[in-house]
Amino acid sequence: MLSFLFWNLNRKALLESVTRMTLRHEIDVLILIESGIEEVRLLEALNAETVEYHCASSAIPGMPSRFQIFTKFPSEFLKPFHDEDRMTIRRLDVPAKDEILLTAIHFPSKLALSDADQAFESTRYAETIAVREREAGHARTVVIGDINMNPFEFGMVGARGFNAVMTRTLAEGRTRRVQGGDYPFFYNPMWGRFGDTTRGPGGSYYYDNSGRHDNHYWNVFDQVLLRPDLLPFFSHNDLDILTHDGEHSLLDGRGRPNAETASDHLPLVFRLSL
Amino acid sequence: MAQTTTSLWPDDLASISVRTPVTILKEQAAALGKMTKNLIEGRVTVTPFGQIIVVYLDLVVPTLKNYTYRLLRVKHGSLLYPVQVAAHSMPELREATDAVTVAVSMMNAREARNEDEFLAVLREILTSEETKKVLAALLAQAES
Repeated sequence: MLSFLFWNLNRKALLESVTRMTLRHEIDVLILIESGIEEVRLLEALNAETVEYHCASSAIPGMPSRFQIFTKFPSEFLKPFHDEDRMTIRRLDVPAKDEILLTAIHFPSKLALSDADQAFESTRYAETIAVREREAGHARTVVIGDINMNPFEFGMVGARGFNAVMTRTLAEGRTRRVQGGDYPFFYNPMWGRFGDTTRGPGGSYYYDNSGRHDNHYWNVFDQVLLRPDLLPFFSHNDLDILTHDGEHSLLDGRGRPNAETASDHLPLVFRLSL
Repeated sequence: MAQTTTSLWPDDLASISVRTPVTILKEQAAALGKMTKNLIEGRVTVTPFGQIIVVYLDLVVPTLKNYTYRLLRVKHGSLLYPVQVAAHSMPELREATDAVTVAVSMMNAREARNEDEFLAVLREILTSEETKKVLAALLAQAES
């Protein structure tokens, strides 16, 4: 079993919450963005009782990274494969398990890009991932990150974008053909994390823009996408939007992300039974 | 007429127990991580140059964007021992990537004829004042 935790900290130094959740959920790979925590402090906190975690943020010596990555695996098991400002792809190659391509993304926000911009920009990310899959010789790819789009937006569902569909059955079709081109599917389990019928909150990010006609209140910007080859190793019970760090709620009195004491985004935890 | 082939290789290959210099260095790398809570990690890499194998032990500070200090290099041939061990090379030689520069970087190396001698040399290097100073400096950098 491999476990992953992703959280956009909104530049907060949420050292205790992150440490508590990481240890409580026995996380193998922790990915933070917009972190206000000093890496060295988090490494010390994670290893305070038992020395298990390694800092794997920097893919290229000397180069800064917007991703803070901590893992129970030594660096040789999480090798840099592709790095750019808002996307890092690592080869997670743990002994006795099939290699996976772990892709973390912090996609440009709607403050910087229009919906159309985001849709076009997503094609570059999708192409890069596909190129790297061909280079690796497999498509056991996980994408995790703050994609700053909802699962239903063009950039997420477009064939040349992430092409991320809402059911396993659709994803098992592996590819679809559009205008003569074949495009590989991702499965996007986050479709099932909207609204009141989920076991968690209504989404991962709340934005009250109720003065505008176009307003969803709850958004699912924080997402996990899986290629079909990883579906046998994934169960819906192994994916949660967390609302509690084990000691403190991450929500305010109205059940929304508490941006004062925590972050405006909620963390994701998921597992693969590899 | 078909001839049967007889293996002339020793039949007790699997029973030969060898503790390689790489194994020993990896153990020390892991021990360093435990001691420093992985603020400083030891990383071992192996580079073959023809018949020669060079093993590097680097000190890496992951929270300092993977700042790397090449602590020592070990060189041996097809047989694991003897090995040559060189530590704290001049900075311009630490990143040696070709056979000639590696040879130059090993000019002041010490030789260990077997595993016990290698362990003794390694202990001397790892507990030396120079290594202590480097580790203290790296820890201070990581903590600052």
